[in-house]
Amino acid sequence: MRKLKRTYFPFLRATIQEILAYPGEALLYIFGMTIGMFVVYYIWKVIYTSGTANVIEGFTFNEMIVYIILSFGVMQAINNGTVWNIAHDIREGTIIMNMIKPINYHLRLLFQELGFVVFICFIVIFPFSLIALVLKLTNVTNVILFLLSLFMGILVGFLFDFIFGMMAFYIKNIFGIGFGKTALVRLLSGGLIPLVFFPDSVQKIIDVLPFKAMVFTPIMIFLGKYSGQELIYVFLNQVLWIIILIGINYIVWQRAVKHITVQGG
Amino acid sequence: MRFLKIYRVFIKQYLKTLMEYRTDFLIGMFSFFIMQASNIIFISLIFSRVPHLNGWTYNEVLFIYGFSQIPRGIDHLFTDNLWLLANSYVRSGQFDKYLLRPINPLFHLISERFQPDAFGEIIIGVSIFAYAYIQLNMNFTILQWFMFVIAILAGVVIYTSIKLVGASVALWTKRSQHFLFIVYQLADFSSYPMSIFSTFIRVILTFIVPFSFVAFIPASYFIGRPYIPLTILACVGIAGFLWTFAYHVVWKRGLIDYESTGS
Repeated sequence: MRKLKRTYFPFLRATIQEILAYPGEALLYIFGMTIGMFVVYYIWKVIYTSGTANVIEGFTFNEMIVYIILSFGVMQAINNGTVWNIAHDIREGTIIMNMIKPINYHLRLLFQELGFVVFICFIVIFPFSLIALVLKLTNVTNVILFLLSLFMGILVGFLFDFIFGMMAFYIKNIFGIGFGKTALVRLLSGGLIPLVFFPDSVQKIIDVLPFKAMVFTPIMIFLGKYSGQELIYVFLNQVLWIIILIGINYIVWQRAVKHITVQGG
Repeated sequence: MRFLKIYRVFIKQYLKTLMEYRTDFLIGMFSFFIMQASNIIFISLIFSRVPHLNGWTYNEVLFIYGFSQIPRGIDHLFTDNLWLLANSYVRSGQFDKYLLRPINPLFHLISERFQPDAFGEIIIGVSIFAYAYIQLNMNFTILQWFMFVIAILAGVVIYTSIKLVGASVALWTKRSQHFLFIVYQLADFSSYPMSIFSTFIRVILTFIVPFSFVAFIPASYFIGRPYIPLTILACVGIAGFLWTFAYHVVWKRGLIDYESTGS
């Protein structure tokens, strides 16, 4: 465990230092991303203020606001550079440098990503959680469970991205496909609209996909929508997806390594 | 004429690389297709719960949304290289090359890249527009179709001008990707009825970054609920003004002040 920390923690720190070297750029980027969130907010605002119902699909307006802000934050944390990083390493051949070093490529990238996650947590998720606590929109237990679930959701997102990034072995336009992936994840994970708004038949399909575990599950925990058995079930679901995706990653990686040819590097 | 000839040569070169990576082309298009589709699913899911959005029906909102994607896609198709100017061309010194050739630097920059990913936006935009057109029982006269084409063209010019301003900032700051990104994101607002947004946002979208003229304002005119009088004329006026500002004031000034990074 100590060795793990000593080997990989510097990668996390390096990402944070990179962000802090140009804090303005990072903040501008986040600010740009909030615009989409505002569009969604105004649409819901009109619906709640002009409509007859105060509760839509079990969401009050306040809960919806919490959902919009948190799903924005969680999407940012999940949708980081992993796919680009892998694509870059494959394209440039630098991936080979990793293979001759005694470090695990997956873990290295994970820690790099966690650096960005820490940044998002301090900029968006922690401050907002505090505000929500002060305004009594949630309670301390929920926030702690949320953070745990968020961490697992981020792992699910990372493992999924890693499989996805491996496609750079076969596809050149990873930039285009990355946009498509983000849109798909946002829609199916609940990053755009709470999944309960989908028709039941679609929800049944979403239930057996990994995306729900990334965004929807942690936020519903934050809002205290799960209790007792349900709570155990959603956590088990996240753990299950982490195990399945690790398995798939293992297989994909084994095959990819055999496939690698790097000219020069 | 000369520009057209050069452009044809550039496009031909580009299409060759495209054919080489055919799957990539399809994937890129499909990706933007998914992005658009997810927004439409979002709108549909919302309207399955409420009959109207601040007085705008489902089909009207779809009409505005579909309309908005057409100029966005056309601009995206032709001027995608502006993003690279904002991101890396100045810093890497690549921009110098455009200044050393005997053609208009802006034309050279833009014609170098043709972004077929944009077809994803255009196809969805046209389809949604057509669907809403039929659902709303619209019946454009020849004059209205003419106005429609004018409005779309004005929209493209507005998009390009705003992008040009955002990208030109890099001529001073070396890099303006994030600035351009924020400005470009504002266009998202124009895909929905303006009346749902706060006054502050409406003022920005009308007077400062006038994206409302690329979609909501002309679309509301065609729906028959004009938001401002003399809509199409206003769109053309804004487009003309913006282009003059973007090209003659910002871009030209930027070229004068430009200093190569020398790398």
